[in-house]
Amino acid sequence: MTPGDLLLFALQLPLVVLLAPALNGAIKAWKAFWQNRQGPGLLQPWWDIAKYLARESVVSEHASWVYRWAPAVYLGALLTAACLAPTLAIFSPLGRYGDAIAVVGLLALARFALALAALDTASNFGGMGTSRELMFAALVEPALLLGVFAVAAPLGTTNLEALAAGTPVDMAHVLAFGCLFIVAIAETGRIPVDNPDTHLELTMAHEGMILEYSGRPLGLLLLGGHVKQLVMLSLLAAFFLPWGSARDLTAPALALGLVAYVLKVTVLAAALGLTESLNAKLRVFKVPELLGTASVLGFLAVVAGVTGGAH
Amino acid sequence: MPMMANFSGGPLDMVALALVVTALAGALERRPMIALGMLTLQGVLLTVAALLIALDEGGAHGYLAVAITLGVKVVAIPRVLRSAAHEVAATGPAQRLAVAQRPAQALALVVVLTAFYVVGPLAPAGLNRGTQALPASVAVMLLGLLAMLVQGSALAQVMALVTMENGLYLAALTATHGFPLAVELAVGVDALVAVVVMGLVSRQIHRTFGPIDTDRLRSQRG
Amino acid sequence: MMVLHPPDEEAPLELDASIVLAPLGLYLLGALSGVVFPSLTRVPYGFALAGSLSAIAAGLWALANGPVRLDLPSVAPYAALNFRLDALSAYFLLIIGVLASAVSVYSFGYADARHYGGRAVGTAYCAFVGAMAGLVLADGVFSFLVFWELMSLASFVLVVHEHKEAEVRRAGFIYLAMTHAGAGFLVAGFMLLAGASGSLLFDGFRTAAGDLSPLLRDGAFLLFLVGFSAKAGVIPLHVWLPRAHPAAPSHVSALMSGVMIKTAIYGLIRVSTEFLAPMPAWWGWVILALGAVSAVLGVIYALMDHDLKRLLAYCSVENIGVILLGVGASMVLSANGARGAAVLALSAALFHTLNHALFKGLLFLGAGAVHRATGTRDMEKLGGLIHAMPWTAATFLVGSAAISAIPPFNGFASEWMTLQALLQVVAGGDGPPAIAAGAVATAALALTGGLAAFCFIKAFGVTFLGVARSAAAEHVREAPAAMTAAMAGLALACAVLGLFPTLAVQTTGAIAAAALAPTFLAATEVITAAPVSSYVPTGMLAAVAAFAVLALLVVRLIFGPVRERVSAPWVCGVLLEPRMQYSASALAKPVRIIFQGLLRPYRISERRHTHGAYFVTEVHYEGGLRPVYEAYLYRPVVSSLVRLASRVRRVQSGSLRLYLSYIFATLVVVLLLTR
Repeated sequence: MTPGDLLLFALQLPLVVLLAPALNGAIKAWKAFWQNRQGPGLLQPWWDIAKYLARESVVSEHASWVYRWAPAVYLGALLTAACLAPTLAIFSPLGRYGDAIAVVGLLALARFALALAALDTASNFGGMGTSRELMFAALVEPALLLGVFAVAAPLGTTNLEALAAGTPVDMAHVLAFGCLFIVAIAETGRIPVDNPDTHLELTMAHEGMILEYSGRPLGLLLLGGHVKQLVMLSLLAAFFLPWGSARDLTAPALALGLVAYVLKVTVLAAALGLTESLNAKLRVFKVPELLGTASVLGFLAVVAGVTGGAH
Repeated sequence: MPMMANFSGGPLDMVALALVVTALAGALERRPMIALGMLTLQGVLLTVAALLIALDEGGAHGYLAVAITLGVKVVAIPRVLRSAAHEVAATGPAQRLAVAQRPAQALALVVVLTAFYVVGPLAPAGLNRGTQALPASVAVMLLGLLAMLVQGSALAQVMALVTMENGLYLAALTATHGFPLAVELAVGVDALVAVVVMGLVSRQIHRTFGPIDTDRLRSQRG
Repeated sequence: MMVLHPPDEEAPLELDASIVLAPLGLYLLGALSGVVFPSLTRVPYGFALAGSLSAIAAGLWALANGPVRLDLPSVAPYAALNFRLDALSAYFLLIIGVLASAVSVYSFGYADARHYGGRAVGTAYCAFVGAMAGLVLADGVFSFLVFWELMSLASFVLVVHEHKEAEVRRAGFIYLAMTHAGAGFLVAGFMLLAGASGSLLFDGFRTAAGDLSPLLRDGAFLLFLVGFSAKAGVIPLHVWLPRAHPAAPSHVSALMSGVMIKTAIYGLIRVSTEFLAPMPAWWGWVILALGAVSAVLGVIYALMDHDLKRLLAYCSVENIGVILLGVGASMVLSANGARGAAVLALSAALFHTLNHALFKGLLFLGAGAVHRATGTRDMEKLGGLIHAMPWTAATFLVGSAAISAIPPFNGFASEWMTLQALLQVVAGGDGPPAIAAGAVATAALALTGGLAAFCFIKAFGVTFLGVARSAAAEHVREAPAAMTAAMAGLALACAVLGLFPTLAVQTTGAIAAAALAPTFLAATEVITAAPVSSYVPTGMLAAVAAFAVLALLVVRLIFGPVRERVSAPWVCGVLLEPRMQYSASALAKPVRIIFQGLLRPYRISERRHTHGAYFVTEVHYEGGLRPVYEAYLYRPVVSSLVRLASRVRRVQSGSLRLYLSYIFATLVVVLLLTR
């Protein structure tokens, strides 16, 4: 790693870790505004995570090392993805080591670890959550890859720096944004795909997988979930809203990049929150239709993007 | 290879694409109030486009065009259609379409992309501002036509007509260096009159006969 | 760095020919020892291990030093045994050697006198592996077909080992029928080529490659495609796979899935790149379509299955689909002139071949260990095995992660390369139809990856995690050391190849470059991914591990040591029963519902009662799937064949006079013809 990478790393990692829970708090506050109520404070997710990290954890007697190591693997994979995704600059600290497909792979690793841990406790809510979440995840994969290819194919590469360097403004990218926005909703487990605030076990998908965790592992998983949301929003911002990202490692460029990045992800988060407030959760077996729509949008975006690029 | 710049053609391209997105959202919309909102949004976007061109050109004539666009497309036309839309909305939450929703949406997307595919290379450089505006306007016109074919109620078809005119308006704004003022006034007044007449008449029909489903209207011919 | 020598004509090198004979000779000795000393059950496996190690040595030697040929003297015209060990053969020989070594070590523990002992298994095993080794070495039609048949027959003997069960007999019958039908197509293809080139040696085919007429080339390609697809298990010619692999003993299933179906890929690559060059683009599109369909349908059927080995068999169908995606992409790209991308695609396909052999072999060996310990393959009766069988579980987990394309294992590396190849297909597509087809192939690969991860989370989770669902899964013991050592070795190979894929990719790149480029190219020149995309697995693994450890340390520093309390899981206040856990069918049910148009599930529920509906004596419930290819392809074909056969049967009326008159008529006709 070059000194530039290390500098960016020193900036990006704390930014991601601190911003992710705050962004989730912002979405909650925004949803509360739309629901005409006073919600929890903006920094509540920080205090929640701190509370869990300090608590004792209760472990099922049937659980094995898979259950105990899953939270660390989950968080590690997602933090790596967060350091791969371009945030305040168009390059990322680990950009030399991975590309867009590697980010998708890391998300898959995180989900794999968590799904196995959910089945490890021998309770049934874990199985229920795993079954639904994996069904959604399997259907999201084509949409996600088609959306990434829609941005990458005209450029001929999946290198994140090239993808973040700026994309032409055309219809293909509008469609690709639509596709990846729906993918972001599905990956972050928000309405209309899944309800992140539900207490009813029978309506849970992602929440069902972490239901058996408590204490410190739960704190790690919650932080991981917030980081995953930030990764999705960072990718959206990098691919479709490239203005203001730093192109070199000078202080003014990085400062502007930081401000621009926070603004961009806040706007995208607000869009997520607005979508949540204006829609109802879909029935589980209606979600594939939505994900199929995302795939169709991605497919059309790929065809339009490459055809347009050839002109 | 496409241009690698941050945004080619700049804000005008984005406005053009946003216009296409609103047209897509509103063309097959079955709820009248939402469709009206999309129409108003299109008016706002056209005003922004006119403003961008006025800022680029300089000269009072450009700002006058902005004012006309604002007055006609954001204020007047939605105003006229609003009461008709309220009455139609009161009869039921959603009006019907002549074909199924999903295939119609897929067809709309394909129409838009075909417009971009066919018209994209034709955009004359230099004479045109930005590369997306001309294909976008053709796409919006085609979407309006599709909506007229597919929508069931007379009000929705009027709104589709306005959408078509919006597309034409965008093309005219960007293809030449702004409309000559007289042509602009003419177009605006023409559309306004047409809409006023149609809005009033359809409200009257609705009051007298109930729902204004155009297929049922055929039975009323003399 | 591997450098490939140009394949010029060399006089047979007597000294080096021994490296070709050594593995084959050792396998032959093993087969003989199985016949001669049936009571020493482990001896054939020892010979097989020695033969496999020598095969690895031969492969590595040939990759480093260039091709070797050996022609054994012919016993009859057209019946010569010709061998040639060039780079492609050496690579597949390596794959065979590596997997066969591991499986032979495993067999020391698995095939003792009580299970799978006896002369037939050891002999057939050595014959099977030896036939596969000979197949990839074959350099002439006769040698190829002889070893192909031997491979099929030896594996048939192994498949019907438990012939007392009707299911097994039926599986063997279908397997034999399909493999011979496929071989028929192969023979036809070879005869076409032989007729056009005038020789029965592969060298003759190579020199005649440029002069074939397009019609002949297309016809030969289609014949070879059908023949090799039947062996590889491409949908819809795969029906024998899910029946034969579970019926065979697990160590044999590992070899069948890991290597035997890959010999078909070897054949396809050898034939299309060397004998039928240059390849038009539409061949690539056909193979892409077959690959996409096999991948998606294979994994969906795998997800629906609860028999561990049948699930793994369907997954082999899926992975063959993924390999074919790479092969098809390379054909399309090479026809479009994108040579570098074509090399990447073929390299990805070859790499995935190796990876699949490793992790599928590992998974089958694990399934064998589970079967041996519990007596059942049905996932719905298992659970909680991780506590009693930690090594089996850990290696099975590595195999599951590898096959689900989870970084940093080898499955992800080859899938990454395949995706890059498909990106090049999409980006270079001329016209919307080509781009759309490439996009559909990408979506199919992505969907496959997601569903495969689901499938293996189900397989590993239901089998090893949770609590035992029946008495079969309680009181189990870990597998013997030989078995766990073999599985650990394969798992280590998966991890190493995942972290250092260049170990294999340099070789596959060189092979692909030599196969696709008519002129000799230096190996390093053409191994490029997309210009700037990179994936460095060691960096990724280091980052994930570092972040995980860092997070744990930081949290421990701030919040103190972790406090953990073990207790029974909360299940709404009652005692936990094993039936409360999610079952395998429940986990897979959402996918069954989504794809029910394709899977067409059926459900039969009958109640038998006496004296009215309230006195139920018996409830009969049956549920299943109606595979779409069976209703629309096989049933019509089989029923029309049977109809045809019954019509032809009228010729056999049983009357002696009629038969004599047939003989008389034939004689007259022959006399007339030869006048």
